[in-house]
Amino acid sequence: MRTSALALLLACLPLGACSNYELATGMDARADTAEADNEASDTGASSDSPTLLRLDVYPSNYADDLENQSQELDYRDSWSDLSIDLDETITISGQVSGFDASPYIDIAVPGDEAEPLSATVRAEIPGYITGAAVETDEDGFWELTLPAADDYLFSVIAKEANLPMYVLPSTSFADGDVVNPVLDYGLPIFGLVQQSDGSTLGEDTWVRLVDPETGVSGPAVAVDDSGHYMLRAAEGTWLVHLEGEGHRYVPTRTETVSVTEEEGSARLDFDMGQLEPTRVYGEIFDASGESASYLPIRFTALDIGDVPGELVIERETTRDGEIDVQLLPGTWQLEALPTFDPEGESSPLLTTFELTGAATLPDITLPGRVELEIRVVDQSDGPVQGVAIAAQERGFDEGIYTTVTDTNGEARLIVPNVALDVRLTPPDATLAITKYGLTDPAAHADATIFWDLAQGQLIQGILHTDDEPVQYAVVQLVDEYDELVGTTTTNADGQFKARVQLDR
Amino acid sequence: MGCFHWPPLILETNVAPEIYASNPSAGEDLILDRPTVAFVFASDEDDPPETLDYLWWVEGAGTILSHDILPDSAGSSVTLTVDTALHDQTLRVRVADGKNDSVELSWPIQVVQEGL
Repeated sequence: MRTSALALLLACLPLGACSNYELATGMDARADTAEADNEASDTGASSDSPTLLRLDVYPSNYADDLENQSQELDYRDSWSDLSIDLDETITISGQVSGFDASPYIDIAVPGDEAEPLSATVRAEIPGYITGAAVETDEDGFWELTLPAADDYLFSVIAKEANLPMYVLPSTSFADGDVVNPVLDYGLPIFGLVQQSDGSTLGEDTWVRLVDPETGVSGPAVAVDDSGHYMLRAAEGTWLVHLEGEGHRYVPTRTETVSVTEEEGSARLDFDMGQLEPTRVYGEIFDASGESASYLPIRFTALDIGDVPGELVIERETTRDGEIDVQLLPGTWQLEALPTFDPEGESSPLLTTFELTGAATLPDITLPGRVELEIRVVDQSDGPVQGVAIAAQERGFDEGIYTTVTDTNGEARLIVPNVALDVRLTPPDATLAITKYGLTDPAAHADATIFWDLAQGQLIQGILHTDDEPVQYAVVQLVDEYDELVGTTTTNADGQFKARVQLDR
Repeated sequence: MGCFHWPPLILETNVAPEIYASNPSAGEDLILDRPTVAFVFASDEDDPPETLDYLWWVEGAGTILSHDILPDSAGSSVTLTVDTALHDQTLRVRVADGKNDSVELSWPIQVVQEGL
């Protein structure tokens, strides 16, 4: 063991203990039901009840001419007899060109005219799955296929040239439209990135512009060895986002800057404080006591003192399960993230520690899995066969563990011992897709968990395009808080039918 | 000489599962320009749908993906986030019936991301 100048404070905690999630009360108390955290999500009437529902539609090869798209339902509509005409597909195309400050083919007048440009062209409706992106060919030509919808956010980001981004909000397109974006030279936004003592951060530090109105992000530009950077933008107010490579200790910072034609340029310096990382060493073992080789680990800074910005560092353990990383002094959260494996033995783990200098962490052993015995019943306590149970890790990598109930409504499921969000999907629409929370699975290892399916709200209808039914599509039901309520599918006639926990 | 009578020979056969619908379609690339869902619908003539096992993974990287079961055990889906490490990899799904028969489908992944 190495010597440690460490102030190591907090012990390993299951994620649920630190979670911000608030589970609703009102569980159905049963004598043989494990207690405390086995609670149904709140379905009671509330002023916060969702009033909109989004259908994210993923067509199959039976509707090959349709693209993935979102459709929104309003609470004023009847949801039991829906007839949804999906947006047909349109094709738009064009050529991207941009100002070339140093043309090498025709060196007549540098920067005299726009040259074809490699870029990423994207059209999407914010908050929806509707949209697509494509990379131009080397001559700047591009083509996109999209659902025929309104309010597209259209953007063009140069791939190699340091040029301003091209953004068109709230744009509608018609089939066959040709769009030829020109990225002009813009105005320079420049600055110096340095520490308090005037030293620079070295390689692998990047800056990029972000449009504060749309969130569109421009190309990443490297900060040079002397700490200088330069971006180019159209006149206006911008966010400058600075970050290091994912494995380094450079905090992520975002600052605002305005640039005007009148002033011609803008300067924005970053004082990064004094970054004095210290070496942290440790060892992680899996649930069977073997070294956890090449285990993904994630450090998140909770408090790094006077150093501004946010910092997340992603690494792997060595072949021998060792942690060897440079971190800034402060309070850190460490997540150990076993690769998803339904047959695996270990669970993810979250621990918090405080660092004041070079340190060796205490040995970490990952918790084992938990086997749950589950019984799913209807409103009359009768068993329900064929219920798909999906238990998803709350946080970590959000792995999903699944099984299906048998003729007795029973199932066994081996899960990681971390907080889980459980979704029960009945085989038909007589009962609702019902959610439960399980913050401490180990507390239920010795007793059968009883879950009952809610009555819910019926959502029923047909998906079609013109008069053709959209067969065998997957439809995700998402509430206005962007939470997945459940999943349903269309049949050979394009019909879908589900009940969901939702109030109107 | 008497006759020797052989009992009738009974051959047990098993029908492999079939993938009858998917997104992306068979033979297409999976364009990963935003978080997206890939799915298959599968059936099996001689096995109930809830007995079918689905395994999704990224070939090459060897990464197993967690998946969701579609209602009425009609199929399985995965949700993929935009990750440059997936570029030029292959997403593959195997549907097995537990009797040594299975069917597979795969899609080359093309990641489209600004700055890639």
